[in-house]
Amino acid sequence: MTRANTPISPQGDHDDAADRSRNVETETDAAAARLAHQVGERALAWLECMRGSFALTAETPDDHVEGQALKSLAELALAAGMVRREAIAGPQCADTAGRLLDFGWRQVGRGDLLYRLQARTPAATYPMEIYAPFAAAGYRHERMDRLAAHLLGLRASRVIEHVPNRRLAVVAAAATIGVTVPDDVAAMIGQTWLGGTPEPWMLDAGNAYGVTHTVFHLTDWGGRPEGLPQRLQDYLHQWLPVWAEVFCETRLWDLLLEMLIVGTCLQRPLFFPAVWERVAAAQRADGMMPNGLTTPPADPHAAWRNHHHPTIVAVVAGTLTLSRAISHATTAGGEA
Amino acid sequence: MPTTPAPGTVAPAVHLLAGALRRALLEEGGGFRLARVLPGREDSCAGLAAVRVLGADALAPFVVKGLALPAQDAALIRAAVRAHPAPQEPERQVLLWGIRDAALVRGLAVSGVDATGWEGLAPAGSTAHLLRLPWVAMAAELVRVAGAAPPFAEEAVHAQLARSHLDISRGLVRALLRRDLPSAACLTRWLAPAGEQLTTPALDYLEIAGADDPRVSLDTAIARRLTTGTSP
Repeated sequence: MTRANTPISPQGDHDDAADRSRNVETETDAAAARLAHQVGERALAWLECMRGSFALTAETPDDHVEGQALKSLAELALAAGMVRREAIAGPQCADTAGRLLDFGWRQVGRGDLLYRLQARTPAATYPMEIYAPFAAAGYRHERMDRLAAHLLGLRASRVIEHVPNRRLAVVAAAATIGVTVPDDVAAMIGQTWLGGTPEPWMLDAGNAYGVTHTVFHLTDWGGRPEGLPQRLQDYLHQWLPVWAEVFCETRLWDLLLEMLIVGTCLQRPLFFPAVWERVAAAQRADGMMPNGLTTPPADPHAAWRNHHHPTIVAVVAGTLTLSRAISHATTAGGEA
Repeated sequence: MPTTPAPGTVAPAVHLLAGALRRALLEEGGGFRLARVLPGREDSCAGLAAVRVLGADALAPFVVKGLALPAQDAALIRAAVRAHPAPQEPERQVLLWGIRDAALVRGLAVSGVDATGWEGLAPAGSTAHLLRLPWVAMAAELVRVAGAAPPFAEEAVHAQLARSHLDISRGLVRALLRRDLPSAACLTRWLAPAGEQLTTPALDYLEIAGADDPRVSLDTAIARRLTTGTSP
């Protein structure tokens, strides 16, 4: 009779439980890191293989450039930028990330397209939000920088009627571009779902994406964990394990991977090796992440449409998990 | 969605008894009698089985409200234990029934009845080891032994329960997210004495959404009595 299948069986007392717990934690962190590395590396390879699908339609007038296509390019740049920023996945991945960033930057006309879109629609924030991950990776457009700084300083920029976590996205984009905005970030946080620390069973998929993005923007994708107020760190420590467990059952890999990223963005990071096992098992041999219960089309380009986002998120989650697990282990080792 | 008991099973009697126990908990006064609730002579087997299924919870109105247990009801419970003895195998079932029956014995003791030597009881078991499991497994096991939850919990695990509060709360949240109202209701029983702030809105929800399931309603009624501090 084993403990695993008969938990109702009495167990003896364990005086050394704390030591064992520490060892188990280290082992599980290592297991999560190993799987995360594998998943992230494969996902990055798939993105490079499929990068042609990210290309904007040639010679499209600016007015007709699809917002979704631009968003995908920004997300590609974000993932590649994370690989470059964390510098943890090895030289081959670093080269791939560099090529993907160069590709994306060329697609947006080395910033010219984003500048033109921003100039034509000054009240819109999406051009500067798309510019931000390129800027974070060192791809700068001088006129875009000046225009963004001007627009972000206007009274109009204080009263955009975005949903609360999107307002944080704009603040984060401004910070990345290098513009300090006078927004009351604490008040903005209070208006988000997460900031309200609601009854945790009231989370649904829509609000879950709000939670994940609130954390991403406040912590600069785990680069500044202290950007998340302590009370929200505590709240996530309490309930993120439950959400990860429940959403693992739904097989919404896209959302689940975002939750794994949230765990890495905390000052005391949370890793979920059991979830990573499920993610690794779900990833297709070519590196693409499925999404939900539907079967992806056999044609890779058709599959790209609905599966590039979870695969991008897999790169970010894999990279940040590996990076935080190593730094966490190093810190823990130093404390021991 | 209303919970319809399967015909030809003990479920109708369980639902009947659970509903009566809930009403007895909520209503003022002390006129409740188990013997008046159970079906007539022709269904006595199902009625006794219902007492066995609900375990210590059959005593909830008496224990929670501090009412005397009539001798006729005590005899009825003893008859139920004798008619439906705890299984002697497999081991997992023996352990489960050991926890359930230990809670029943504690409830009887509070009501002034010594159950020592009663035929059909399982060897006494404890929930202490369950409170050392990882939170998902712990919550699953605590649902299975909800009859051993407060007000029938062992004195010895009270401190352990307090330390496990977050883990049990996680189980409650997981159950609510999965729309598993019976499990959620069971887990409120384990959380109720601490009066933690999440338990009250969870009970508010369960009282509405679980109103069609007599067992959910019974568990939430017991938990509510414990959270409002109206128990003796």
